Amino acid sequence: MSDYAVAVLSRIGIESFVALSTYLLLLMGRVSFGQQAFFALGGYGAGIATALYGAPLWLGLLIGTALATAGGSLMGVVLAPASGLTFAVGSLAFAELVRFGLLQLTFQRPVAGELLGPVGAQGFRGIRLVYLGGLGPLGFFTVIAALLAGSFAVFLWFERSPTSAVVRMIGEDRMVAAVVGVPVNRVIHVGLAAAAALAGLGGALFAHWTTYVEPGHAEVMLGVHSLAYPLIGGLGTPVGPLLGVALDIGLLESFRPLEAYRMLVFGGLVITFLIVRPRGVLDEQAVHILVDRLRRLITRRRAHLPP
Amino acid sequence: MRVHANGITVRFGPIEPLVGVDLAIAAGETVGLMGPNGSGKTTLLDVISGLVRLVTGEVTLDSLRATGCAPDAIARLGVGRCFQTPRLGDRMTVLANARLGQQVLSRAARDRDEPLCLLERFGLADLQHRLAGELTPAARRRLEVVRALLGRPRLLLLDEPCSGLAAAETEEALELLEWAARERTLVIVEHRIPVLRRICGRIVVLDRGQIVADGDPEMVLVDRAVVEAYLGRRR
Repeated sequence: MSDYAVAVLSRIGIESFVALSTYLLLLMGRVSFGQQAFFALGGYGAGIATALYGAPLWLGLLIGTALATAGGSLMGVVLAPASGLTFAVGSLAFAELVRFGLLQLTFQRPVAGELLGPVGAQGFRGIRLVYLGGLGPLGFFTVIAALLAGSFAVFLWFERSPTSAVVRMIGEDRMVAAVVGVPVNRVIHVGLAAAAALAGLGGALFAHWTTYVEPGHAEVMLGVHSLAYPLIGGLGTPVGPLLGVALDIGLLESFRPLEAYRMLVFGGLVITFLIVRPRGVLDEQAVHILVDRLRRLITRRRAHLPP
Repeated sequence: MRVHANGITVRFGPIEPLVGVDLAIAAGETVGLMGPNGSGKTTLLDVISGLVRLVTGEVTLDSLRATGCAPDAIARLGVGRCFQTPRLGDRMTVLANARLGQQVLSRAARDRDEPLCLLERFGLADLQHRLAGELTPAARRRLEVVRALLGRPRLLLLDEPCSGLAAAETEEALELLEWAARERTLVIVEHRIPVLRRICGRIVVLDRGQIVADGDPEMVLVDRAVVEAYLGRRR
């Protein structure tokens, strides 16, 4: 595989974590413009662990994810009861608080004769474990793919569990979820923490992939993209957000020849797309039709089998 | 389940949909709530379900104080609820909507086959894999009742369960409601007098947020206050 292909696939893999994170929140009817905060927290946490304290990669990723989860849980204390515009603006405000905090964060220590660590707006350079440790881009892509496959498997299991119906009911009608005995705020709180964990894991991988993370990574554009992924790919299945990332990054990459007009064309396409299919390519209706056809096919095949 | 509502007052801005309502319902009773539009019937169901905050008053379910409890906590006490316009997960299948009703039960108490059995009884088994949003209004009402019943409620609150149904559908719905009323307390908001006469042992009439009549259906339906509530005062 060429270096370019590995780079594009690694980026698709990393952003898929943020896409899954936003997907989970959209299922609960929560539009978050703040997932970039957890992405950045994950990056900083993992970077500090591996670059400054020599933690192994797995521990760094775990610490980054845990930090983001704690951030998501903190946001949940305030925003779990909120919905609609209040939640959207609240999540953005929380992300801005995190970004502001990271802008103030200066924490360096000498590592192998070099001062490493976050320096305010300049960010945090030198998170080189992946490259110094001999893993390399292809090896690290394997790590990304394995973690993404694991997360995706968890989502598939979740979609088959009764909890999935609870989460989707909260998204459709919070009051009904409450009258059937669902502790709505608690479920949303857990969902926020889980979504933050996913975004944080993405950020932790990103920091090690690029060797760099900065407060700018907590800016709203990543949040907007992460919302677009599941909305383009579809909210009917966890395949949707992954498809959204592939379409988003794939289209952006293929528009490179358009140079400065690339974002303009891309933005127009996304808007048109969202008007035509407001809940994405693989929305609930499409997934339902596909599953139904598959079920009929299996039933027909079984009926033709000899006893 | 016994219900005691004492001195219930609810305020939405300048409007008071309920003013000092006192209501006691015995366990196993089937009570019809009627009254003109805006008389406070649905608000009273919302109060019992914990969906509305009280200005004054207290609700007790059996001997437990339910005032101020969250709707999910009240559901766990054994209260099932259906809405005036059926509220379902339209993007979820019929079976998934039905199973949602079991959320209120502990995992050990959930019977995997029960949703299908109940869907069968309510004539929805063939539609189990359809999206709820594709159902007819009558089927949506039935599915909402199935969802409520799967929580094995001891008190079932139904808001106009026969509204919008054709005569044949109403008859079917009544038979199912009579079946549902066994072994539980039932409170039904309804406008159709034949429906109330058939399934309710007692009718409570609300007008402008207050109870104006309460008792045996035959007595209540000829009560002057009830006639005036619906037709206005004779000059």
